[in-house]
Amino acid sequence: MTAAGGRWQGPSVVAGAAAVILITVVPPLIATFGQVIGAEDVLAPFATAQLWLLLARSLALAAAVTALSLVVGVPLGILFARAHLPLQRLLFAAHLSILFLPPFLPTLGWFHVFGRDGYLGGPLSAAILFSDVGLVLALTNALLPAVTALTAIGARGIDASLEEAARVAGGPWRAAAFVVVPTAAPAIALAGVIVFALAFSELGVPMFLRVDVYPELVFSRLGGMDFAPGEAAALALPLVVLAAALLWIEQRLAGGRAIAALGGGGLGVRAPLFAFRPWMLGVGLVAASISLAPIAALLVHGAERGGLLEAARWIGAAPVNSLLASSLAATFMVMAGAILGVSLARQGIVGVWLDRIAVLAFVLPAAILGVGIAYAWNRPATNWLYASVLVLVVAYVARYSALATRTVAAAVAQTPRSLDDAARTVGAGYFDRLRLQLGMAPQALIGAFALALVFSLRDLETAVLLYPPGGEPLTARIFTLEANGPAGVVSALAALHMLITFMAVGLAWFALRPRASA
Amino acid sequence: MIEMRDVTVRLGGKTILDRVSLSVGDEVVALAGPSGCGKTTLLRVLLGLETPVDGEVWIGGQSVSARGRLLVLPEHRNIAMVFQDLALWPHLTARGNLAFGLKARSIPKDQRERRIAAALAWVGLDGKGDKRPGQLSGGERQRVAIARALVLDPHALLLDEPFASLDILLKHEIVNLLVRLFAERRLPTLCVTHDPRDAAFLAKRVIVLESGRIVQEGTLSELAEAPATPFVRAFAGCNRTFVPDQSA
Repeated sequence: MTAAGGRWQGPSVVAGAAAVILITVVPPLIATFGQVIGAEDVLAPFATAQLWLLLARSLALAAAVTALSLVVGVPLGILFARAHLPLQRLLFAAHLSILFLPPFLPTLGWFHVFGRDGYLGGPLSAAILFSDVGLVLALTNALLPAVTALTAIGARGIDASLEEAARVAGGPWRAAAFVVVPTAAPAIALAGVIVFALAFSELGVPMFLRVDVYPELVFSRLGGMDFAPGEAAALALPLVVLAAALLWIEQRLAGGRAIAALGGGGLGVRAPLFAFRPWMLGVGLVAASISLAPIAALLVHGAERGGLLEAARWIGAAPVNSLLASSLAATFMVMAGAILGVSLARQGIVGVWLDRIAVLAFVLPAAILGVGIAYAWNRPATNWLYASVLVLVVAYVARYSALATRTVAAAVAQTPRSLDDAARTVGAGYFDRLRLQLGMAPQALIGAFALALVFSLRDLETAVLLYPPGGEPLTARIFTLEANGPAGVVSALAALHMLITFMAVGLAWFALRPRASA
Repeated sequence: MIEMRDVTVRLGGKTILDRVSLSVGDEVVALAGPSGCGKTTLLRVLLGLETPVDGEVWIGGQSVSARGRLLVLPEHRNIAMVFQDLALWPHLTARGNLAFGLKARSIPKDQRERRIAAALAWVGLDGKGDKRPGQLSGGERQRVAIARALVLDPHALLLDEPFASLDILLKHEIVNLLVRLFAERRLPTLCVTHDPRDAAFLAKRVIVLESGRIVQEGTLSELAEAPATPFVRAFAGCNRTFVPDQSA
């Protein structure tokens, strides 16, 4: 009986974890297609050249953000990972800080710097900010650290002897260019896909900067004067094709190799590839300052306008809603991610396929997920979920579960398979082996939770479509107030959002910090 | 000529090498010692990947590290190494692996191609230049690593346990290749090994390192006759059971 029970332990637990992903991701997709099939004149919007031009323009803007992020982020990642730099950790943390915020917050900060009435602003800087160029620069500023971070992790994870052999034969620059970067290429490719997906999905920044983009068109059909839900579903269709293309690129260029590259096998102490040069410190300082400048501008603006004192009157339950929905979602993501991540690391068929579904949801423009979740759950039978904060939990799990699964997989992939085989030979059951594998990578669970939490906290695109009455998360609250609330209060709420996020990141950083071995 | 004079290396507050002095002329010297005794660190010091806190390192008559300073960068020392795990760059072909160092030295393309072809032919890999490491057998990968080291025409050669991962047949094949190499080119060579049989037929002289210090030096029979430590006794006491192909 024990043996029979043991045999079903694994499949039933994996099925439970799979259900978390499938229930959150698949119904929205089916519901979207259902709306398209049921709607009349579904192809009518596609008859206008304007729509296709808007799609092409949005793709071009996202491509420009991705290209610029890669051009700047890859060398920066190598610098932070493999150069001897004073204050390295501090500068790196400062550079990454902006990634943990919804991009429209730093954009708001830049507005206070370069807007017409900004600290350094004038008509010209405002014109640049409120243009395609401004959009590309603002999004690059916000998303560049994703490239820096993944390049740095990939570069530090490569086999030390590969780098040293290149260092001896060709010097540090050639070693970096021809060995370190190509070896970290899967991680860099993954970063490119992430930046493209996030840049294309972004609603807050283009709406704030008055730049027309395609996802905004879908968003506009879900409320207000342009309300046309069937058309919204139809408009989402090209985005499904785009998401499928991104998934294909991710699987082809990154996929399992990125998981291996990000495992950080070489994260231990290693001599830097580049000796210290003063200009390197200059580059590090600039990278950190460009991330911190808009944050500082928001803080100063909030304090100057008395927003910090006024904020309490406007804040409502938004921080509680944010924290509640995000931590619940992160918990579900880590529970499912721990199980599926182990399966993915061992190339289990269920893990591999569910990872693809989760990555598809991640690269899917948020507007589609939002549309789909609304169609799938806005029914009498499921109104208890749709009308509560739980709908945000569903949205966050659907959109970000790939982050938790991949984080766990990257860590577990570094542990030799023989350890699991050894446990199996001594008769360990599924739970014992799962505990053993996760026990060898406990920091992965903390990292996965932190990533899932922070990305849920920073989400605006899905939250703004779905938040229930009284369940407004902080990002949506700031975004709606930005249009018609006091400017100082908006800055103060943005500062509060940053405080919550940085406290979460700080706790994770503290838990994950390298400790001296006994 | 490779020379170390009173070299001390400290890493993380621990002394890894303690006043080590050695010299290797146009000969093969085996470096033996228990795990963690500092053998790999010693090779890294010669390569310039670690800087000694004290002592001097000389290569080809030039001081390359002295009293805590790196005088010559690793890429300018012209020392070649065959890494224990070979460290072949997986995204480059065999030819690409060989070309890497030549390109860094700005060798013109025609000369580069000629040298690569000659090196690949020398290790018996004609026609395999376009294969990536993953498409080659274990023995072929080992040959590429040796060719990559030799194509740069180095001042000295370092071998870090070159036979560690080879089965007996492959080992025989690679040993014969190295014997031929040493016969043809009198290259100062330091070979880290755990196996006294390898030391016996590759090297005339053996240096034994323990806890970061050289405890004994001599031919294998000299070590066997008067071992200074239990490790030396165990190491030198083993019999030769493996005979290289003398026709190589």
